[in-house]
Amino acid sequence: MPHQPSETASDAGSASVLAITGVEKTFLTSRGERLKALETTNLELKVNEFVCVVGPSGCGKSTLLRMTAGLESCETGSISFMGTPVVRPRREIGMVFQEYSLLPWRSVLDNVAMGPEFAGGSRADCVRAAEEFLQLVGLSEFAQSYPHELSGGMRQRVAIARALANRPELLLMDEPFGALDAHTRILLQRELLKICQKHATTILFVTHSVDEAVYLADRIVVMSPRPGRIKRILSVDLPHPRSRGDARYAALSQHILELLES
Amino acid sequence: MKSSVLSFFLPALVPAAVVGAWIYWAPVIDNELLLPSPSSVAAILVHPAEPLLAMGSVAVNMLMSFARVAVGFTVGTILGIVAGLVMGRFKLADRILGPFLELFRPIPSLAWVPLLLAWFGMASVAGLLGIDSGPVYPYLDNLKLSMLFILILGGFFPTFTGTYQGVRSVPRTLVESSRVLGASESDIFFKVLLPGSAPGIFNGIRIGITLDWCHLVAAEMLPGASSGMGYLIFDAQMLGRMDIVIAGMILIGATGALLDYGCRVFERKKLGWSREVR
Repeated sequence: MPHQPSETASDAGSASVLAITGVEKTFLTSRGERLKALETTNLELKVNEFVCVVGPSGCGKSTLLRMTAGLESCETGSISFMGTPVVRPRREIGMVFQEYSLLPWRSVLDNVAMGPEFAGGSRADCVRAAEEFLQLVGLSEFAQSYPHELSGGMRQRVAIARALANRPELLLMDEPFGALDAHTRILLQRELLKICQKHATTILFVTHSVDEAVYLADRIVVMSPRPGRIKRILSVDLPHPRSRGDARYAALSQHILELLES
Repeated sequence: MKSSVLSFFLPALVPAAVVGAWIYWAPVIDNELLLPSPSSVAAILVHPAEPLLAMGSVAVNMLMSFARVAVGFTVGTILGIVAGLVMGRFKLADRILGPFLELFRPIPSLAWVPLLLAWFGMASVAGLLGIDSGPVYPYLDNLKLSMLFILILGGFFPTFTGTYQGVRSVPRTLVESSRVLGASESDIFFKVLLPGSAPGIFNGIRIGITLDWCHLVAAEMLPGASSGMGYLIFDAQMLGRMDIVIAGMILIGATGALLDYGCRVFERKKLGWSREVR
């Protein structure tokens, strides 16, 4: 579809942080065939909104996130952040990966200090920022440890602190708790919400866990598999902290599961 | 505790047996040209500064060889690291230079000697710098360009391969997460790829330095050399001094093993993280 988005700041007036307009993604397979990963997608995120994208693997949700981060190009449509198109990674957009992706040769402190360091901050400023955010995730005493000395949950906390130390206005999270055990996962979900209250951030969170989405999100984007397409966008009007025993919680989860299966 | 004492001495067992056999057989054979007595070899080793006939002392020759390897290997290693980083990072550079470099890898460095002698002859670093006297002159004059070329080549390939594979083994998400955090291309290079490939680089250096040491000794046996451990051995053979030959071999072996050991210690201390990852 030759949908040509205007790159004038049409959405500058609204409180929209991120505007994904008419975005599609096609990959070339190793056999030279074109494979559509993502059908035309439109999505808008408002300031301080927590949006979860759920869908089966291969629905293009990670691709969408990587394009938003500027790690992958989008040939069709546009992704604009605060009114300017995203063409490469930028400091205001942070990202947390499933694989933690901490630098194994750097101490926890030096990992968290990466953002300020790349921005050219003085050593003292970098350390101060890193300490502040390490404290936020409750890992101050592990500042001098190395990533391999920490558990998976702690590593992911470090990765979150590292992303936040860059003071992003939009935080992208790609199945950040996917590799953690159920208990740690629930703990970190709770912690993430607490952090969001302290440091107001807009979050786009990709997961394949319906429960996780219902627990965290203000809005849930339900996607269909191959080629990925937005099936439905649902608002979650349950107050925080949400109780998994709540009847509305269960009903919503059930509803999303049915959507995914249909 | 007993077993730990035993395991400490275990590596010394075989060398001790070899020396024992040597001590036993030397007087039986009683021919200095076939098997010199351990005591004559030991005498050379404990007085390294004593001049040996026209060859100079063991210490001077050792120093000469060492200086050559230090200069040649350092240059080769630096070139190897740079090429490995660039070709590991940029596909285009890899496509252009990869096949070319692979053509040279299988060529033994000694096969270069005839060509190098024709090109450089006896030219040395001293001539290159225009120095023809002074205290450093003998050292610079012994850094023959042809020999350096061989050492650079010998140091280049192992380090290049180690670096190249090291860069390739840095997980993509490390690069991507750094880019998202605002890393510039030079940050990626120096703060992610370089430290990330350090274990690979170091592995290459460890293999390369012992290999280069071997190459050097072989190169010093060729025409044109007038000092160094290889020259010492070669010349001693001409003079029928098998005790000097064996003393030289022992020193070459010990130096190589020591270099390797030094590398291992450094690796354990500075690159311990790489063994803990996954």
